[in-house]
Amino acid sequence: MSETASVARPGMLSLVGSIRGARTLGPLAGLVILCIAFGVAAPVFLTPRNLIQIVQQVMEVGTLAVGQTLIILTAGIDLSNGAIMVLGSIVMAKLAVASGVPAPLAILAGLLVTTVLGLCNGLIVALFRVPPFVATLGMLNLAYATTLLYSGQASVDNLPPGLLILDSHIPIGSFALPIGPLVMLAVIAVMWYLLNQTGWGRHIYAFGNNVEAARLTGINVTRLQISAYLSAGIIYGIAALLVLGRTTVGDPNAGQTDNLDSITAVVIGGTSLFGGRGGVIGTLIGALIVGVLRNGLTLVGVEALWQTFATGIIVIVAVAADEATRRKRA
Amino acid sequence: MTSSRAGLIRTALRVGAGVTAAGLLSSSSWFLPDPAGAQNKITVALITKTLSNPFFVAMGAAAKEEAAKKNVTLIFEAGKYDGDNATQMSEMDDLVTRGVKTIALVPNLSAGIVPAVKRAHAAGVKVLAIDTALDPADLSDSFIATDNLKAGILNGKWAKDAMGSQTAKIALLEGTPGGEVNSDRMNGFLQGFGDPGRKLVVADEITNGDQGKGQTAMENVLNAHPDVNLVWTVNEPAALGAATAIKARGLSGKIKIVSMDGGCRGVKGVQDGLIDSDVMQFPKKMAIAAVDLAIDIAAGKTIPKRVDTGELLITKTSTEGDGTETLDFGLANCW
Repeated sequence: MSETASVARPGMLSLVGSIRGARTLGPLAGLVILCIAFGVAAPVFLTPRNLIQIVQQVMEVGTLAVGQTLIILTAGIDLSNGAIMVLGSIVMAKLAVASGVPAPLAILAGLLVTTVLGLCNGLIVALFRVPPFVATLGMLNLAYATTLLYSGQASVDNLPPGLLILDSHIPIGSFALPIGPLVMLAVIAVMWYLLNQTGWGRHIYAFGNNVEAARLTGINVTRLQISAYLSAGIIYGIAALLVLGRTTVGDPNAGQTDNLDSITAVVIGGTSLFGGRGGVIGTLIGALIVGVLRNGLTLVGVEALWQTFATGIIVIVAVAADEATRRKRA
Repeated sequence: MTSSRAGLIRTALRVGAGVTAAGLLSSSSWFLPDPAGAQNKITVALITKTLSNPFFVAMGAAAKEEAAKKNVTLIFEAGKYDGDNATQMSEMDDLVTRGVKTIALVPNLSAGIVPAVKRAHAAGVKVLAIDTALDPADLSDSFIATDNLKAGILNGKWAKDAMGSQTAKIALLEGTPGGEVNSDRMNGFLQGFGDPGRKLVVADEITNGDQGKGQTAMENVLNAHPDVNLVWTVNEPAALGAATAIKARGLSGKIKIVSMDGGCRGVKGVQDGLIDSDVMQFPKKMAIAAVDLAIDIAAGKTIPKRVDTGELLITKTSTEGDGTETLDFGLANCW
C-alpha cells in the first residue's frame, strides 16, 4: 500500500496499521524482546501476578496517554493532563469526605470538572489560536494551583468505598482479577473503535495530516479540534477515579510527571508528534514498554536512575525511527 | 517500493529500541554481585523520597557502605520528585515480587503508601519507616527517625535564652503546612520557647523548604514587620534564603535565625554567622540502623518499634553537653 493512499483514506490505513502495520510492529517486537530478556534474567518476571502488577502500575499513565494520543493525532500536545486528572480526583475526594456528597455524585462532579477543563483547552486552542503547547502549559498551572487552593495543600484520606470502586477485584477461581487495568483496556478499546470505525475518527486523522485539506473537504475543523480536547478531558476524569482506587487517598501532589510520561508512552508507541499517524494500540504498547522496563530493572536490582536513563534512550530511538520514516517518505 | 523499504527501516529502528533496552538489561548484571552468592545473601531495599536531596544522598551512601561491610545486598530506589507517591508504590510492589524481606522507606505520602505497605506485609515483608512516619504510624515494623518535636524544643529553649530580656517578635518560615515534620519542629520550637511563644508570632509564611521561596518570604516579612528579631525556619535552605533577605536589608546580626537539619551548607552557615542555631539530625545513622535491623529480621530477632537517631544543637560557641555539640563536631559530621 502506498503512503499517499493513507492521506485519502486514513481510517482504512489506521485500521490495518494499528494491528499489523510496521508502526505498531516495531514497538510490539521491542516489548516482546524486553519481556523475554527480563523473563530470563528474573524468572519471577513472567508470573501472572507480576504481569498484572505491571499493568496496574501503568494504568494511570496509560489511560492519560489515550487522551494524549487523541490530541497528538491532531498535531497538538497536552501538558495539562496530569494536573487536570489530579484536580478531578481531589474534587471527587473532597466532595465525598469533607462535604458528605454521595460517592456517585462526587464522581460525576469530578468527571464534569475534567471534561470542562478539557473543553477549555479545546476552546483556547481552536478559537483563540493559542498553540496547544502554550494553552495547555497555562492550563497546567491553573489546574495545579486550583488543586492546591481547593485542597489546602493537604491530602484527603478515609475515602468512602464508592470512590474506591476501581480498586475492586473480580474473583476467578482462587485468582482475583483487578478491575483497574480492565477499565484502561476498555477506554483503549472504545477510543480505537471511535478512531478507526467512525467518520469522526477519520476526520481526526485527516485533520492531523493536513488541516487545510480537511477544511476544504467540508470538515468543521474548529468543532473537530474542540471535540478532541473535550474527549480527552472525559478520559482524564476516568484516570482520576483510577488513581483514587490505587492509592486510596486524594493526593494534591500526585501526577506531576504524568504529562511527560504520557507523551513518552505515545511517542514510544509510534504515534507521530506531527499528527495524523499512529493510534491507541501503539500507545498501550508504549506504556507497557515503560512499565516493563521499570519493573524488570527493579527485579534484577538496577537502581532508579538507570531506569530513567534507559527510558530516555528508548524515547530518542523511537522518535529517530519516526523521523527516518518521514524523510524517506518525503 | 520506497514505502516498504521505509517500513523496513522503521521496523528495524523500533526493534532497535527494544534491543537497546535488552542490552542495557544484560549489562545490568554489572551492577549485581555474582548470582550464586546472591542466593544466600540478605537483601535490603531502601526507598527514599528523591535522589536529588543531599539528605537522601547521604542516606544512600551510608546504607551502601554499611551493606558492603555486613555483606548484605542493598537496592536503592526513590520517587521521581518530592511527593511522588505513585513511583514509590510501584517500587515497593516490585521489590516484594523480587523477594526482598525488608524494605526501608522514606514515604512521600504517609497515608497514600499504605495499600503497598499492606501488600508487603501480606507477603511477609517487614517495612521500616525512616525519617517520616506512616499514617497510621504503628503500621511500620520500626520507625527510625529524629525526634523532631525534641529538636524543636532544643531550638526554642536556645532562642529564649538568646533573646534575654528583649521582647521577641517572631516570624515563622514554614515548610509545607500540615506535614508532620513541619508541625513537630514548629510546635516544639514554640513549646521550648515557652509562654507566650505563640502570641509573639507576627508573621507566618510558607516556603516549602525552598531557598528561593524562603528569601521571598523573608523579604515580604521585613516589609510588613521591620521589627522582627527572631526567625524560625523549617530547614536550612529556608534559613539561608532568609539570611540573604536580611543581609540585603542591612539587618545582619540584628535578627536571630534558628534552623534545623545538619546539612553541610547549614553548618557552614552557622560558622559564617548566617544561621544562629542549627539542630543536627543524622541520616547516615538512620541508614545504618535500617541495614542492621534488616540483618536482625533475617536472623529472626525482634526489632524495636522506634529508633531515635538523635538530635544535637550546634551554635558558633556551643560546647559538648546535654543535647548540644561543638561547631567542630558539626562540621565533621554534617551531610
